[in-house]
Amino acid sequence: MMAKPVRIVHYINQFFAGIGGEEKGSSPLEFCEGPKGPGLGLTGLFKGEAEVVRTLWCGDNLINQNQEEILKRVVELVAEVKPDLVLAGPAFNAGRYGLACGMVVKACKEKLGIPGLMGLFPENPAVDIYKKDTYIVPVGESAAKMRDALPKLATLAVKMGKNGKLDNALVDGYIQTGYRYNEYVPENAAHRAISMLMKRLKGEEPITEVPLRGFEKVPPAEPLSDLKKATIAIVTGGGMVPKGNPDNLKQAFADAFGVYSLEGLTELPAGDYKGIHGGFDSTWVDLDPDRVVPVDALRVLEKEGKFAKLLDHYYSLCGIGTNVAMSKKLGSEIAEELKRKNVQAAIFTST
Amino acid sequence: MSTMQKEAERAGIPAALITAIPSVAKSVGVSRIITGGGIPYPAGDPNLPADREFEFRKRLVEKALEAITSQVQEPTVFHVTLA
Amino acid sequence: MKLERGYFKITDLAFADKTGLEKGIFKVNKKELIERLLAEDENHLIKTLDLEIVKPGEDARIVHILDTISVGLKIEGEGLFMPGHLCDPVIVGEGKTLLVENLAVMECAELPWAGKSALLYPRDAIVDMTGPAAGYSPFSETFNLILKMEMVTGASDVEYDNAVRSAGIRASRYLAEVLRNLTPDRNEVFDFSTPVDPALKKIAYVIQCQNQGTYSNTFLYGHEVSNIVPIRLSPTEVLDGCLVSGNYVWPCFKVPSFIYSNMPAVLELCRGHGKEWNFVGVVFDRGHNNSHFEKQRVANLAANQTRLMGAEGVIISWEGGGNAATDAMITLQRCEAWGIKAVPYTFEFGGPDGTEGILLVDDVPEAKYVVSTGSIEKPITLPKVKRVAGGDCLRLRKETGGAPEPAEVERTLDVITALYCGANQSGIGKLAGVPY
Repeated sequence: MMAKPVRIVHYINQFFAGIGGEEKGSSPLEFCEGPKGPGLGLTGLFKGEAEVVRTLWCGDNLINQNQEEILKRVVELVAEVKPDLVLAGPAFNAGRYGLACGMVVKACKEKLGIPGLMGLFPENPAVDIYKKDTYIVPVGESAAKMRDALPKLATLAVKMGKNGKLDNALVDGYIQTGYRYNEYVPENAAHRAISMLMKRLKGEEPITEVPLRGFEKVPPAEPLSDLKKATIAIVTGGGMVPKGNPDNLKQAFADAFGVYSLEGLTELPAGDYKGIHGGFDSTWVDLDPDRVVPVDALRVLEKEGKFAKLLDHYYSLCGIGTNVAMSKKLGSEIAEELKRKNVQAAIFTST
Repeated sequence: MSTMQKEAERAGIPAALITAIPSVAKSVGVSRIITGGGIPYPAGDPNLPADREFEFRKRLVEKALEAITSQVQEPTVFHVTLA
Repeated sequence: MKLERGYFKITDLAFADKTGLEKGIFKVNKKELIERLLAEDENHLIKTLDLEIVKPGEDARIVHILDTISVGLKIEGEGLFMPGHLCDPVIVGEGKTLLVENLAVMECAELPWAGKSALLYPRDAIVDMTGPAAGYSPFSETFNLILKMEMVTGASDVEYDNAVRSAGIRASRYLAEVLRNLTPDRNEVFDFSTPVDPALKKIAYVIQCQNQGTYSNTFLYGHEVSNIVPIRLSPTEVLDGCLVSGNYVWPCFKVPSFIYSNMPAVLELCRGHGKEWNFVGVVFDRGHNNSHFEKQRVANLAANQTRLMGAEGVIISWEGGGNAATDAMITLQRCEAWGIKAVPYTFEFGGPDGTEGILLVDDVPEAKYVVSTGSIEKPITLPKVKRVAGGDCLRLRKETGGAPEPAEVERTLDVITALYCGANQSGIGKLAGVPY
C-alpha cells in the first residue's frame, strides 16, 4: 500500500501567483486550495509522493511592512490544513521575497512546530538571516533558473516531509546553516584527503569539508591627536600574571582577564611574575616579563614626556583557543574599562 | 588578541598590536600591527645582549605609539630596525 | 627503496610464565620484563615500574599517557626498527619488517610538573576504551601494554624524557624479539625501486611535526629536530620508525610513535603507488617557527622540496595548535602558487554547535579544499569507569595548582583537549566535523 503523500503548504509572492510585478507589492495575503504558479511544476516532480494542499501568496512589500499581522493570518491558514511541511519560494535573489519566505517558514516552525524548506540564491541577504532557522536550498539567481530549482526542492521536500528533517548538508546539498557536529563518517580523514586531492588533480572541484569563514572588518579608530597628554594602557595576551596566578586564569580558552597593578613599578621584576600561557615556551618571558609586558620601555618614555601617563595597571589573559565570540566579549569589556579610566590609547601584545 | 584589538578600535581607542606573526593579525583585520621579536618574546629578543634588547623593546613601543598617532585605512604593518 | 611488512594480529594479550606469541595470544613474562627494564635504566630514574594490560572493549580508562610505541622487528635490511634510539642512526626503509598491528606499548608516568615553562609539561592524557570518548583515540582498539612508571625526584626534564622513552623502546624491542622466527598473518610490499607509469599523478605528503623543547619534541633518526631544514624521506623510512615522538604537551595535538610508523596517509599512498598515483615521497619539517620570517623560510623550503620531487599534488598535515597551522598554511599557499594542488586535513574549533566564530585557527585564501578531523571544541562527558590504568588520578589545570583529581569518576570536559590524539592530526580517526 502506498504511503500517504506528504502534505505541503506552499508560500509564494504576488509575481509567481500571477497578480503582477513590483507595482503589486502591496497586494494582500490570499490563498487557494492546491498548487499555483511554481507549485504546478512541483506537482509533476513529486510523482505522487507529495502534494501542495494549499498555496499562500502576499505582496512582498506588504508582508515586510506588516509582519506581525500578516504572519498571524499565515499561521492560521497553515494550521487549518495541517501540512507536514511548509515550502517557500524559490525566491532566487529577490531580497524582500526572500525575507518573506524566511519569516513565513520561521513563524510556522515556531508557532506550529511544522518544519520548513525554502529556495534562495546563496547571495540573497535573507540567507544569512534565516539559514540557522530553516533549510535553504541553493538555487539560481533569477526565475530563468526555475527549471533547475524545482527538482532540487521537490526531492528535498519529499524527504523532509517523510522524515521531519534532512541529512547533513554535504549529503542533501542545502546551504550550510553553520551548525557542525562531530560524527563518525565511513572513511578516515587521511583517505578523504587523498580522495579530495585526486579529484582536484583530475580537474574536478570537490566540496571542502571546512568552509573558510571571514573576519569582520572593523574600521580603524581615529589616530591619537595629542600623545603628550595621553594615558596609555597595556593589554597582553601572553598570560603574564603575578606568581601563583591569583585569579586562576586559564592557560587557554580564556573566559576572563586579570587586572594587575603597575603602581610604583618601573619594570615587571622576574620571579614575581609568571607566564602561564599554554601555547609557547614561557622560559624567556619568565626571565624577563617585560619581554611580553613592556613596562620598562614605556616607563622610560613616560619619564621623557613622550606621553602623559602609563595606566597604573595592565590587563592580562592567555590568548590561545579563545573563540571569536568570547574574544569580542572580553575585548569590549576591556575597551569599556579603558574608556571609563580615561585611557586614550592601548598597546596590545600577543604571542 | 587580534579580535580584542579590534574591539578597542571599535570603541574609538586607537591601539597597536605587537606580534611576531603579523600575517595572522593582518588577515584578522588588525589595523595597526607592529612586527615583534618572536613568539615567545614579542617585545624582546634574548639573542641580543641586555642593553641592546632594551633598545629594541624601546623602539617597538615607540613604533606602537607612532602607529597609534598615524592615520591608517586598512591593516598596516609597522617594522622596527635596530640599526 | 623496497620494503616488505609482515603483520601479526593478536586476539589476546596476557601475562604468563614465558614471553611468546602462540595461536594469536601474546604472552608476556611480567617479572622478566620489569627486571630487564629496571636493570637497563642506567641512571636509575625509574623508581617503580609496573606493567598493566588493557584490552579493547574493557570498561577502563588509561591516564598519564606519554608516548605509545609499535612492536616492530627488522629481519632483513639495515638498521633497527626505530633507528637512532639506543642504537646507531642507520638509514632504514629496506628489506623486511615484522609488526604486531594491534599491540601498543604505552609509557605512562606522572612526570614532575617542574613549574617552569607554561607550555612544556605533559598535560594529563586520557584514553577511554569504551564509551563516548573511545572513538577519539585509535588506542581504544589496540591491546595496550602499559608501562606504569613512577620516577625519582630531582632530575631534569631531559633525563626523565630520555628514561621513559628508553623504557618504552626497550619494552617494544623485547616483545618484538618474539616475532623473529614466526610467520606473519599477512604481508604487503611497497616497492619504490622501480619506475612507474609516467602518466600517474605525482603526489607528495608533507608531515609537519612539533618540536618546541623537551616534552614537545619529535625525533628523526634519534635526534630532536629544533633546527631542521625540511627534508625528503622515503615513505618506507617513515614506516620503519625513523620518526619517534617525545611530544606530550597537549594530548589531543600529537602523533605518537605508533602512528608515525603506521601513518594512514603514508600507508594509503604506498598501497596505491604505481597503480592509482605516483607517491614521490614524504617531506618532513617542523612547525611553530618563532617569527614570520622563519615560518616563511621553512614553508618555502618544504614546498620547494615537493616541487623538486616533481609533485603535482600534496597532502599536508601538522601537529600542534594555531601556531603550527600558520606554518602549514604558508606551505600550502606556496605550493598552490607554484601550481601544486594542496589538500590539508585539520581539526576545527567552532564551539559546541559549530556556529561560534572561526573554524580554523589560521587559514589562507588558497585553502579552499580542506578535510576535517573533527572539532576539538565539543564538550564531552567521560563516564564513570570500573578501572583506571597508567596511574590513579588525573592532573588537570597546572596553572591553578594542578592538584590530583579522581580519574574513575564521571566528569564533563568543556573541550576534548585531554583526549589522547583527540584532534586526530594523523587523520587516522573517522570523526569529522559534519555540516548541517
